[in-house]
Amino acid sequence: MNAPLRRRHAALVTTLALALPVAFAAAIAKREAAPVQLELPLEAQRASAVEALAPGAGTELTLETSSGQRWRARHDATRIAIAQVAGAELPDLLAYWSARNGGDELAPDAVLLGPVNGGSSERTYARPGAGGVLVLFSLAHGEVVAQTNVETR
Amino acid sequence: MGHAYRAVGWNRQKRVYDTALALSIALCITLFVALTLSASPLVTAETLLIRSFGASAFVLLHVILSIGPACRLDPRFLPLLYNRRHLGVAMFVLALAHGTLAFVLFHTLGVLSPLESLFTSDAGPGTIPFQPLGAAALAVLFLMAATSHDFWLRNLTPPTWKALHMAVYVAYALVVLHVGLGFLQANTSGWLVGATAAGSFWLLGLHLVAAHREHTVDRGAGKTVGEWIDVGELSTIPDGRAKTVCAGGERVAIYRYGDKLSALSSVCRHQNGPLGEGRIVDGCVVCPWHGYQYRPRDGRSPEPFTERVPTFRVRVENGRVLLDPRPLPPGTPVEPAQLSNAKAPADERELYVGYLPHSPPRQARFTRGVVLAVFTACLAVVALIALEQAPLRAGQFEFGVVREFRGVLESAPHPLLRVQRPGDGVSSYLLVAPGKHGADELVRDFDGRGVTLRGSLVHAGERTMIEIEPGSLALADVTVAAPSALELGRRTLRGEIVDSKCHLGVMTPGERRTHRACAQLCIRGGIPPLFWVEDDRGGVQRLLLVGARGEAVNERVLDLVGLPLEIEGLVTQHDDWLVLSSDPAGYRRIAKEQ
Ligand code: HEM
Ligand code: FES
Repeated sequence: MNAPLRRRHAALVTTLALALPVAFAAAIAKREAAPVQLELPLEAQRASAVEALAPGAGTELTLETSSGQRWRARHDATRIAIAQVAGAELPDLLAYWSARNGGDELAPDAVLLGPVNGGSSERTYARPGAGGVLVLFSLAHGEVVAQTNVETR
Repeated sequence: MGHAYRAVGWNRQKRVYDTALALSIALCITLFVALTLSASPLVTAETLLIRSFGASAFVLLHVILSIGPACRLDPRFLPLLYNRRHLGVAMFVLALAHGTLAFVLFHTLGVLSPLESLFTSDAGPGTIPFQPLGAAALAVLFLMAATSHDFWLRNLTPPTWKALHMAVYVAYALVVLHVGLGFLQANTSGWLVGATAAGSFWLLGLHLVAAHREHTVDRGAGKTVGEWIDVGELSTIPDGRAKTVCAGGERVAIYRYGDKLSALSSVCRHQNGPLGEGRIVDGCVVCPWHGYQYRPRDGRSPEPFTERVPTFRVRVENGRVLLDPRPLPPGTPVEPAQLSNAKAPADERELYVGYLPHSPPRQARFTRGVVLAVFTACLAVVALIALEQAPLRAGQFEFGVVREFRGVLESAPHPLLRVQRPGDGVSSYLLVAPGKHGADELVRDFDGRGVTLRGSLVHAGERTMIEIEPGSLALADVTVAAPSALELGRRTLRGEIVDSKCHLGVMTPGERRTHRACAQLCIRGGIPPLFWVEDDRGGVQRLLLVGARGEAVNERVLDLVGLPLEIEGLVTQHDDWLVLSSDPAGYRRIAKEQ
């Protein structure tokens, strides 16, 4: 570089060395923390649901799809708790209870337990009967995605 | 050189250099994509590309800006400088891909023109838009890439060209602020902040040290002897090398070759490279930057080239070199000073000559070591950025998968399709149009009617949406249980206003500062706003946000989208949705310290 350019270069770099750290620090200082809500508003059914099953309590079953989704269902005499443990979520996923296995169709007698929670959070439902079939049904896809027999102990 | 414009001349070193560059960039991008996918398998391809291109361009910009001062401090870095332009153009291509993708994704298909959206959104009280800073940086980089060919160098003249290319520092500063005010607002890892700050300290520190070194050279003019200046002992100049001195405000290279001594300007005609740091090869001074040649006695490039630099008169008295600091017109022949039996010191240094097919062996080892070290450092930084990104939420968009739905349509405050659940109860799916548009127009004539429609699903957690295929709505005989509405009481909630379409799955991330401009455009276009609330245990609730009388509030909340807010209002349950009704005048920014 020639001398005038060298001087301009030095001036530019010195200005940046002074101004950039200040501007960057100011940008970082004005960051805002993500808002946290201590108690979530819940749908009436969820808020008044049966008492949650204690962690580790009940008998554990697994429901699975061939595309990698997996749910854990824990049950005791009066309750069933369901949580997704692997795979992508399915749209409008509802839990049903029916007396018999309807195959690919939801049996006409199936009783809605409620929507399955998004993410990995668990939701507890009242158990409608002693022995039966727990069915996961995606209403938006219009298909039964998984089911398992739940026996009385 | 000046003979004629040729396409870039290729030789073995250039090919090796460019192949290594292309492979390194491909590896950085692959590593970024692989690490991001392993942590967030549902991340969208657009985000992967935008982020991996942006991160690679930013890291490469640091490498490019380090080369200049590194060469001033140690000439063994010169091989990196020889092809620095290729790095610059590669970095520009990455930045262009990043910027173009972000521009198309976040600013097109809305109710504003894309440029208006780019330059007017993300503003509002207390926020500084970060995307215009990226656009300004891209414009500067574009000017530089477009003028990078020697054609422009010659037409603009080297000093003007150099001055233009100094704007790269402005572009660098703009990018640092683009990252600080955008990405780092939403990705709060201390490692990311630390790495960005360390990058700036490294670059600016290196430049300051090199500038100080240069300044020392320029100050060191010798003692004047009449019209001549004494510039030091002849015995310190090795054969085939020069001593650089500052005379008359500019640098002069005094070359020793065999039993002769000649002086010429040290400013190369090509890009003003330091001729005094070159070497005599085949009787010509070779510029260390890109290998331009000049004859020492008249400062002219050998035929057929036409470059000329000013020459100076020089003589030797009692073993001391004396220089007349008045430059002679470029290309003026000057009789070299004759040296009688003075012994030149040995010169151990190797000079890299970029246009030759091979480097000298020690230099080649050094270059390989540096390239490997730089490459490893780049990979490490790219991996750090990938691993320290904030977790990406997992909504999904069944793009291109069209299904049919049946239900009853409700159009206010936002279009919903109420679908009968087997057994009892109703699920309701938000309806939107393609692009960044609400579905109000599409559903206008169907309020309260049974319909069938086709569309693609967007969903996250318990919330479901359909992007309607226009023209697919038709009246149908559908019965659905009557709507249920249940007041759950007044609540004060902390969260963020998001546009339901991106947030529920069309984009990952579809929230926070980096997505704010897009969310504003979507909400402006009629996409229903949601109030997204999270607890500290991973629980999430997404409420439909409406005004105190249940009306749509889209136009009134634009400034508050994407920022931490507190809203006090009435929570009602409509079928399976929670609705938060509150007058936007009362929405409150959460102050930083709370
Ligand atoms: C029109 C020009 C540009 C636009 C619209 C733009 C837009 C964006 C957006 C929206 C983000 C956030 C992405 C996310 O979090 O998913 C981002 C991040 C970023 N941008 Fe840009 N940008 C532009 C130019 C540039 C340029 C020229 C550079 C530098 C070479 C750059 C470097 C980065 C970096 C390093 C990040 C953070 C991490 C990443 O996404 O890789 N951007 N930009
Ligand atoms: S500056 Fe390019 S050859 Fe001298």
